[in-house]
Amino acid sequence: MKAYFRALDVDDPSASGKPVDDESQPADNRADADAALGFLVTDPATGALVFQALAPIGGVLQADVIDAGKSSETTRILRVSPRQGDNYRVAASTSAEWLSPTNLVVEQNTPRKGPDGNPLPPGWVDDGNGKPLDPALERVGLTEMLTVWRTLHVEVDALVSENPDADQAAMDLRGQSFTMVTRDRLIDNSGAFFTLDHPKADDWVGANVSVAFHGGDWYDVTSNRQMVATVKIGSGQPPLHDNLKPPAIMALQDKSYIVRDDEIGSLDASKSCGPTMCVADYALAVELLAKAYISLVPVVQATVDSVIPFTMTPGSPSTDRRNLIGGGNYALPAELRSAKTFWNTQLVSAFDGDAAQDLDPQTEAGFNLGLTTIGRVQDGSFKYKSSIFLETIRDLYAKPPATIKPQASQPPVPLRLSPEVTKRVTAHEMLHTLGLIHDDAIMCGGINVQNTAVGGTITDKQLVTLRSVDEPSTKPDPNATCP
Amino acid sequence: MSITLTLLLSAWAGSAGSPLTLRLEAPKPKIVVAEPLKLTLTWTATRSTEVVTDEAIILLDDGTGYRAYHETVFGTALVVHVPQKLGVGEERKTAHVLAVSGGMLKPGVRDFSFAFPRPGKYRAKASYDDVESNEVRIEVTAPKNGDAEILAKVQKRPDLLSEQWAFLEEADADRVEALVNEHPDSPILSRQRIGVWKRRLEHAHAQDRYTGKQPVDGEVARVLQEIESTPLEGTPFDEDRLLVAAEQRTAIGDRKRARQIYEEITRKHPDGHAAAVAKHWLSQEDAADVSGALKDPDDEPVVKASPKPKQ
Repeated sequence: MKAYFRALDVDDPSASGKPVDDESQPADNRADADAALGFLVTDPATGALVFQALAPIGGVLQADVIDAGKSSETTRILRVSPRQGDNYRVAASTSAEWLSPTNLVVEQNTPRKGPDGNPLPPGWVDDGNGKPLDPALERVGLTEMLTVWRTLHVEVDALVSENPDADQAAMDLRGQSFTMVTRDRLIDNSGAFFTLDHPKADDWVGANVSVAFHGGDWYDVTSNRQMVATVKIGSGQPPLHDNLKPPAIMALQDKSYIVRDDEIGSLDASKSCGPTMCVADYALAVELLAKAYISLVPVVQATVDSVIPFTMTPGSPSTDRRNLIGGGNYALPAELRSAKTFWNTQLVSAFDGDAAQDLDPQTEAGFNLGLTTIGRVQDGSFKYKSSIFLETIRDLYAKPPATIKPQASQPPVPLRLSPEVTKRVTAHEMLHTLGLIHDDAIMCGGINVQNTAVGGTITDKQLVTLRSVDEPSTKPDPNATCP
Repeated sequence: MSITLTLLLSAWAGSAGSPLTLRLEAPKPKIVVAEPLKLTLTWTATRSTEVVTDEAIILLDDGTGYRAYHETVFGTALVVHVPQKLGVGEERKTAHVLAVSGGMLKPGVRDFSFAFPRPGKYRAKASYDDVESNEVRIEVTAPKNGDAEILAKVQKRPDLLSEQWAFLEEADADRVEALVNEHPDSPILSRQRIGVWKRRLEHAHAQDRYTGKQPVDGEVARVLQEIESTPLEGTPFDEDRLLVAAEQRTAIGDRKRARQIYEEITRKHPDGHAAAVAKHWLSQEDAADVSGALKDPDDEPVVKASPKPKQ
């Protein structure tokens, strides 16, 4: 007695319409170029096991001869396509005829009705009359549906401050001796408010100010010149001079003050950046990628490979890791190389984005929350890196702008921040590495940050892109309607 | 007659119902193949409105119809735009450089193109929401002599003429610097010359930190002197050269020299985008008189500022 196998490429069970599952296409949701039934043989040259294809998908493969009256086991290998979301079932029988397209019909593009009058579900396999072929049938054995999943291996890295106090001090403006403090102004005649990276008027708008003689109170800077910073007195706050008269202020021993617009704590995963912790959070990316049958798996790394020391050097973009642009886009260690057969990208908990869009000062015309780039890693290969700017996210929650523009050609709208900005930005950036562009839903910055459900979702069109991508890659963005 | 023409132009360059008008200009509309083209877009409004100037789109027609043109950038950033108010009578200018489009689409796979890859007649216009600008015509000719040599060298690597990709890797940046040194007056390399200066300024900062010199007295000042004394004649990027110098002078605390350079920008390039930056800086600087900021009755005692900040 002979045994026969037939692999069936069955329809997508997750959708039954455009754009995800276009039933008008003869091979919708199928990419069988490499898929086949066969078995493994040893390559005599290398000794390695290699797949030898014997029958294409849909074709019948004759396998071993089974001796009558004996229990026997025969194994064949199904090599699937490398495309995420492709589905297969495999049938086996002792009759080639029972496996023929006439007797074994796969529900594909033309919806048929079953005996109960309802449309047959995708992936259904029957005898051509709507009568199911299931393991209960003796003459044909049939597997459950097998679905191809791809894995995105992600190296999860983080900028880490090795000396938070020193880094904070280096980023602060720390004046030793103010000239005078009034109700809402801090005056320093030395011209201290203009620094190498705050050289212009109002560069400190949105920063926080504290004077040492009541150091627990922090005030919001509303404007600054070279010698004067003006602050807003918040509800319940004492005036900046803490009701001291000028002679008493002049007599103070400690006239030091701090002006701060960046918090090093934004790199501390145990602290909060808004409603969530200060760390790139890929939970939503896991959920969204799963819709496209892509599994996100963090790479196990040694600490030395996952930690990037935080450095800051005003005037030197290549070593200033506050603002991640251009030459400052540091190279990371790379344990693994990305390839079509092994998808690998990097995710970095980073600090601030483009210096012109990091909410310092708060009056900037936009804020940059994440960036995906491609560049050389330390072993010289190219790899995608998604950076999440946690300090900008912290800043955004602390002092959000009143309005934003959700998409091109749409009027400005009031900003109502989602409590999940970190998750959404992380997902947005990781989705870029798999070909999504700025066009809609989570991929539009102005929708992403708003507290509406759509900002945490992908569209069907985006799902199609994720289902068809064959390796981490980006696409030209000619039709981008939003950043 | 001139009034009628002006009205017609406004109606054409704006959009019914929109208070916004966009006027597009090309300071140098005749270029050679691969030369970066600079466009200046002027934004005005007939009633107060909010705009996001970063969302302006440049449309380019190479003879086959208008298409959106996107200059290549390094990386894909999530940026949320905050609308900025544009009042009646206010004017905002933005600069747009068309040099190289495309990107690295997969690891190691470069897919870049010149904005102007062959001789011919091109047209450009700008759009924002439902408003379109006037059209500018661009004439592109074949490069000759040194420019032809440059083109031959960068033909397979258009990204070497881009603003960001060209300077990402040291080897590429060195190559660009060598080209600029070899052809300092080439219009094809005029913008890259500024990139080379920026890189040298960064190196100069590092050197001054290492030697313990103040930038205003050290290598940074030396590079700045070279930038300030090397006009980019015959290119639209001279204002950018001056802007780099002025911003660096400001950053290192040399506000006197910064003021001179900003004033030079307003004199030499009054219609460019840099002039608006310069005027804003100068107006803020003029308003920085501390005694004027302390007139509130609560602000006793009056504190007199030093006449000029310590340099």
